[in-house]
Order: sequence, then C-alpha cells, then structure tokens
Amino acid sequence: MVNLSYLGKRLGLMAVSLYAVITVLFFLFRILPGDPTSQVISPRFSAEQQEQLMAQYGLDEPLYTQYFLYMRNFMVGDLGQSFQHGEPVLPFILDRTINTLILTVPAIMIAFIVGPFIGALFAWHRNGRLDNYGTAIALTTYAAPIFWTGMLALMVFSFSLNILPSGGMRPAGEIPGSPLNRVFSFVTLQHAILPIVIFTLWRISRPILITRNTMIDVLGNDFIQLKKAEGTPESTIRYRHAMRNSLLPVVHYGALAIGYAFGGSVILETVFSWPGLGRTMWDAVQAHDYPVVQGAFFLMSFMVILFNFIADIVSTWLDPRVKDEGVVE
Amino acid sequence: MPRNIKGVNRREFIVSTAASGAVVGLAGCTGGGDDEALGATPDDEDDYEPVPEMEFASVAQDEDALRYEVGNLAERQLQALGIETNREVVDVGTYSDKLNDREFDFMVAAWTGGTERLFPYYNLFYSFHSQFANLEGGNYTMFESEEYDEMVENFRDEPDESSRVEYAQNCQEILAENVPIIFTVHPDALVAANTDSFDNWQEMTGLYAYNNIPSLTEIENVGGDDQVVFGTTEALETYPNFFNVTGPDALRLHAFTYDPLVRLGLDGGPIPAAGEEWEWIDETTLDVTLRSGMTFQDGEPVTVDDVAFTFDSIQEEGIPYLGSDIDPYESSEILDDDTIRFNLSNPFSGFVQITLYRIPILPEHIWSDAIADHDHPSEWSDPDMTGSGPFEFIDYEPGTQIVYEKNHDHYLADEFDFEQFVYRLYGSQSAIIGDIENGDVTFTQYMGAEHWNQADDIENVRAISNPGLDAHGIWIPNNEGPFRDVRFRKALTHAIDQDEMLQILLQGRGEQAKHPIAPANERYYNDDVAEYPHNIDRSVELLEEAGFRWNGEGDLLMPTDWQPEVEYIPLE
Repeated sequence: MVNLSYLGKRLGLMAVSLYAVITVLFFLFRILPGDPTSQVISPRFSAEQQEQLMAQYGLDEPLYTQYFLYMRNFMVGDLGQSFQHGEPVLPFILDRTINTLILTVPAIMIAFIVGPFIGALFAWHRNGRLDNYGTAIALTTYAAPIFWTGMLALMVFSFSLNILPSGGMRPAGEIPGSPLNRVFSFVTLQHAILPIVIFTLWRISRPILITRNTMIDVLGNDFIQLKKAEGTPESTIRYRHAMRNSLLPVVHYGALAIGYAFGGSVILETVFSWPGLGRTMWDAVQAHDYPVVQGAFFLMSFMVILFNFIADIVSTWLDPRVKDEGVVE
Repeated sequence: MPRNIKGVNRREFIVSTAASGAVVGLAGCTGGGDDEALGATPDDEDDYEPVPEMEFASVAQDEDALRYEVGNLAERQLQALGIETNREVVDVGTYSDKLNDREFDFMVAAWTGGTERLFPYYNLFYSFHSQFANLEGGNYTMFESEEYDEMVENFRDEPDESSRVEYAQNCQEILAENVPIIFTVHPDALVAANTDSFDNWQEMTGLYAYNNIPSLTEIENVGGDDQVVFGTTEALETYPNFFNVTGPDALRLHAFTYDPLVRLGLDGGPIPAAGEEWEWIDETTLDVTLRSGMTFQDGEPVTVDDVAFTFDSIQEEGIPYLGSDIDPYESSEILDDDTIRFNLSNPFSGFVQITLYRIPILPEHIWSDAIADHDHPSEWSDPDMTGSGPFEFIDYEPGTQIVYEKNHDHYLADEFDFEQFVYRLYGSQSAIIGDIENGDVTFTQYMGAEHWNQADDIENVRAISNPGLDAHGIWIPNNEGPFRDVRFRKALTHAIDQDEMLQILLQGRGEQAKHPIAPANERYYNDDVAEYPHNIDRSVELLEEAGFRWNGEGDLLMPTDWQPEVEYIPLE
C-alpha cells in the first residue's frame, strides 16, 4: 500500500510545480521581444493601427491585469482563443495532441516494451557478436538526426518507390468524417507508418542501452551466480531476475519519454508534415500566438510532471528498497 | 515574361563565393584594417574623431535567409570603408520594435511584392512622405523633402495615368539621387508547377505567380485530376475570420470565397469582378456598377447594400491590416439597384487597383448579426464563410489544409478546369518538391534557390523565375549623424556590391535595385536615374568631399565639428 503522507507530499509538489509552470509561461512569452502585431508589421501600419490590433488581442491591458485574467480563466479551463485561427485553445491543442499521440504512443510502446528485452539480450551476450553489432546499431540510430533519417525514408519509400505517402495525415482534400475515423482508419495508418518507424528507431536505442548497461552490473551480483548454481533456467535468470532488477532507470526514463510524447517532436512532425502538437507549438511560437503557446507548453509540462509522479509511485513497486520512504508493509 | 535562367552550378557557386570572400577580405584588410589609410589623412588628428561604431541589424537566418545573408555581405563591404560596425541578428519582433522606435543605424529590410504593388503607393507614399516621418508613421528612415511630398501627393491624387506615371518616376529619381535607403536587390519569385496534371500555366506579375484567380482560370486539365493542390510551408497569418485578417496570404485566400469589386489581371491591371464597370465622376467620387445576377453561396442575392455594408462596417469596426486601404473611403451612396457611389475623403488614384481589389464583398445578412453579437466581429471563432466568390469554403484544419470547392453558380465557374482547390501545408520544401514530381502537389511558391534548381531539373515540372516586385535595401537613419549628408549615403551605396549579392545570394535570379520600384513594374519603373556601381574609389572621393578622413589604421574619421553640407539634392 502506498504511504499516504508520501503520496500527499508528491501531490503537493506537483501542484506547486504546475502553478510555477503556469506563471512562468505567462511571463516568459511576454518578456520576449515582439508581440503578435510584429508578425504583420508593414510600412503602412500606423501606431494607432498597431494599438488597435493589440486591443483586439487583449494585450493593451496592464500586465498584472492580463495575469489575473489569465489565472482566473485557467482555473476554469479557459485557455483563451488562438490569435491565428480564432479557435478556443483547449479543444484545439487537445486535437493536435491526439494527432501527436497517434505517432508517439505506438513508437514509445514498441521502444519500451521491446527495447529492454533487446538490451537484456545484448547484456547476456556481452562482448559477443550480437552485442557488438547490436550496440553499434543502437548507437547509430540514436545519433542519427531524425530530419536525416526521415528525409532518407521519404526519398526511398515516398519519392522513389512511391509506396507510402510523403506526409500529412491523409491525402490532400480528404476530410475525415468523424474524430474516430481520423484516428482509426487505413489512410491514417498508411500516413503514420513512416514517422512511427523513424520515431521508434530513434526512441528504442535508449531503453536498449540503459537496460544493457544496468544489466551488465546486475549480472555481476552474487545472487545471479546463486540462481545459476540453483539450476534456475537461463531465461528465467535473464528476464525475471536480471532484467527486472535493471528496469528502474528505464522506468524513470520511460516516464519522461511518455511525458514528452505529448509534445511530440517538432522535427519529426515537420519532416512528415504531421499536424501534431510539436509543429503547432513551433508555428505558434513564430507567430507569437500566446494562448496556443501557453496552452501547448502547459500541456507538455503537465504530462511530464504527471508521469514523473506516476514513475515515483511505480518505482516503489519495482524497487522494494524505496519502501522506507514511500511504502508501508 | 519569366526568365528560365539556369542556376549557377555548385562549382561556379563555390568559386564565386571564394572569390568574393577573397575580395571582401582584401578590402577589409585595406580599409578596416591594419595600417593603411583608405583616403586622405587629417592635417591635424585632434580636429577629428572616429565615426562612432554603428549597429548593423538584420533578422535571423531562419526568419529570412536572404535578408540575413545580405546583412553579412553588406556589413563586410561597408567595413571596407573603415566604418566600425556591430552586427546584430534579431528576431522579427525585435526587428519591428527597432524600426518603430528608430533604433538602428543599418537595418536590412524589404517591401514584399504582392501584385497590387504594381500601383506603387506603399513603396513611394508611406515609406517616404514626411507626414510619416515620426514615431507613429512608416517612414522609418525619416527622409523628409517638401519637393518629394508634393510629388508623391500628385502621384497619389492624379487620375490621369500618364501624368501619374510621370510623378511616380520623378519620385524614383528623387529617391535615387538622395538614397534615403541603400537599395540592394529585387529578387525574383521562384515558383514551380507540375505539368502532367495541368498545363497552360500563365503567371501573374509578382510574388503570387500562380496562386491567383486569373492564373487558375487559364490552366488546362490534362491529367484528368479534378483537384489543384497548392503546396506551401507558409502557415497563414490569421484565418478564417475576415475581420481578423492580418497578412497577404490570408487576404489572397479570402478572394477565393468572397468577390472583390475588381480583380487584377495577369498583367496586374484592374479587371471587372463583382463590379462590372467603374467611372470616376471627379477625383474623389467613383461610381461602380455591380455585376447583375450574382448570388452568395447560400442563394441570397449580392446587392449594392452588401457593398455599402462591407465598406461601412470595415471602417467602423476597424481591420488594422486594411486600415490604409479603407482610409480614403468616406461614405457611399446607393444610386440604384446596381450602382454604388464611393465618396473619398481625399483624392486617391489607387482606390480601384488597391482598395476595391483588397476589400471583398461580405454578406450583410450574415455579418450584421456577428457585428451585433460580438464586441468586435473578429471574435467570431467559427465564422460562417459564405461568400459569393468562385470557391466555397469547405474545411479548415490549421497546420494541415484548407479545402475549397468550385462554386458552380459563379460567373467564372466554367473557366475553372477543376473542382477542388486545396491549400496544403507542408513541413518542408523538400517534401513539396518530391510531391510536385509525383503529382500530389500541383504548384508551389516561396521557393529557395536550391529547391528551385532541384525542381527545374525535373522533367514534368515547370519552374519559373518570375520577375519580382519585392524591393530589398538597407534602411539608414537619414536624420542622424553622418547619414544626414547625401554624399555619405552615396558613398555607402557605392561600397555595396549589388552584383555580388545578386550572383551569390540569388544565384542570378533577380535584379539590382535603384529605388523601391522593381523593373517588373514596367508601367512605373524609371530606369533613367542615378546609379551607384560598386566603386570604392568613388566612395572615398565622396567621403573626402564631405569632410571625412582616415587615420593610419584605416578607420574613418569625421571632424569634431562636422555638419552636413548637402542634405538634399533637388530634381533638376
């Protein structure tokens, strides 16, 4: 059972972190040079017209008034309206988040389910041919920039072989009938294959390498020798005893990865013209679309904080040594 | 006509870059340099002081690669005169703040070239009339001249075209003679289209070569595909609410769903649209006859009341981006069912070509409620996009696409050889090129030189280098320090190697700039003006005439009691 005071402390910390994030986000983008009007600066724009535009965006109020309005609206889930599209921010960024998750969830699931097993295999065959070549490949996929592997994949599969679409979520002009149709359709799957594969290749290297390195340490422990002496089957030692004891850093890294998964990858989404949260955020930053930028960053931060919290709880289960701090028998 | 100039190949590019680097490096050694005076040394060094260090600013490379590179090249060239500069690379927000606050010594800037710029009102009037030489106006260089003001007002007011052209050309002559801006280049607009699906591509002058209604009426469907896909990496400034419009790309798309009273033809001249004909009654009164039988996409008729409503409500509610377009409009009178009279507050000969082109007709029966229901109609987050235009708005997914379908009741419907137009957003130009080749994209614009070269090598792609109306230059504060003397400004201009910029940065696709009007604007362009070929010796001569000297380290000096002697050169 989870220690309630530990849980309370973690929840309190989470609330403080979120408040800090919300406040920092508000001020961060306002202290940066430029404002939404700077995107449309033109020799024929008079100062009066710029002021009119600022008023239109609600940016003519004093900063503290804007802050209190922002906090009040935030509390009721109103993240404002996008300057660029006029849409309410919350449904807009949630919609983009779903697009992002279509790519990142499968990639991260594959990476964090398959990755540790591969890492365990490499560690077990340490310095063997499998380990040497496998580690080299894992390091290569980690080091290769996504824009490069992505463009390479596009050149081969989209432009040369012409068997997969080059980007977007569906062919030009096609409008999804329903939100479900947008996510679960053959067309979406077809468009998502390349970015998922590229993202998986990039993501899987870390769980492989982390598991491998941690497990090499674990394999040197006495209890592993004892298990071998007991005649425990090799696969049981490898996966139940050695791999499980190597998973803690992978869980923590995985929690972060899941948190970041909500933000997607600006580069991945740019290369594959995928309308996810990462690209939306990038466009919004460039356009000084404060409400969207704030909303997107908040969502990302919230997810990272939330999954860190979950990781802390899960680690108490994975590693009983944490019980003194977080678990009671 | 477009030029199909083959790009400089990689070898030539490297050689020319290396050569230019060597030239600039040598010039730097000579001028900025170490131990040699470029020109006359002072009789008594105590009477002189170094010209103060100057800030040389441009936007960052990822905001505008050309302006950034022009900045790098120009700064080195100016340093060759012994001028100490401090390079500042800023984001677009800081850039506009600096312009607004007049906090720059050198600022690399540009006018963009939408087709309506063929009527060079913005480039000549707003940027140089002394009425705007203040912190509220758009005359950022603070150039002031009564002669110029009078000339440019005549240009603005003159209804007779030949006289108007003459006034505009005189304005260019004054600007070229007084160099309030160091003009650099007019880049071509680089565009490409797939010819397997559609043929007979005809380009409109300026930046939006294919992305305009007249070009789209000309293309012929040869591939059997009913869809035209415009692939672009440029996200729209604001869309879809018209009352929120803040940029040229969005305004262009509004012309798909709404009809303006006039459109611009392929040559940039005004042609009838919702307005069938127009007649100037006097210099502030214009009568426009509405095309009969037009309806909005919901079946309601388009009336002169809708026209009056649109102009009145834009003026009353305010759309900052269209502020200067609506400014000359004072009121309208409905003369009969088909005729509306526009009364202008001051003469404005560009009213037809600019105002009537940029302001489309909005349906009163839809927008009157929106105006009543919101503090400002721009707050309508899910606006009804019904218009009378040639295309019906179907769907908008920000960051993905906008889908339009042909309005079969429109008077141009038979002219379009396709059913659907898609504004498709891409993450990268490389993906667009790949999709143009395989036919998933029909055409694109805003191409960089490398991508354009790539497209030009593809057999089924028509890549053109469309003469542009953009004008690039280096803005300088005409009212400050040594910039007050015309000879100093001329000396700087002689130090700039426009040809090098053109060949290296634009790979030959563009023109050298003499003033803010590009040669592509054949009607108004004045070729017969003062020119400043790259000539460091002439720069030195002019600086010496203006009282400047050099110390032994090659730094430019100015007398401690220096005053400008030539602040303005009038027309001859």
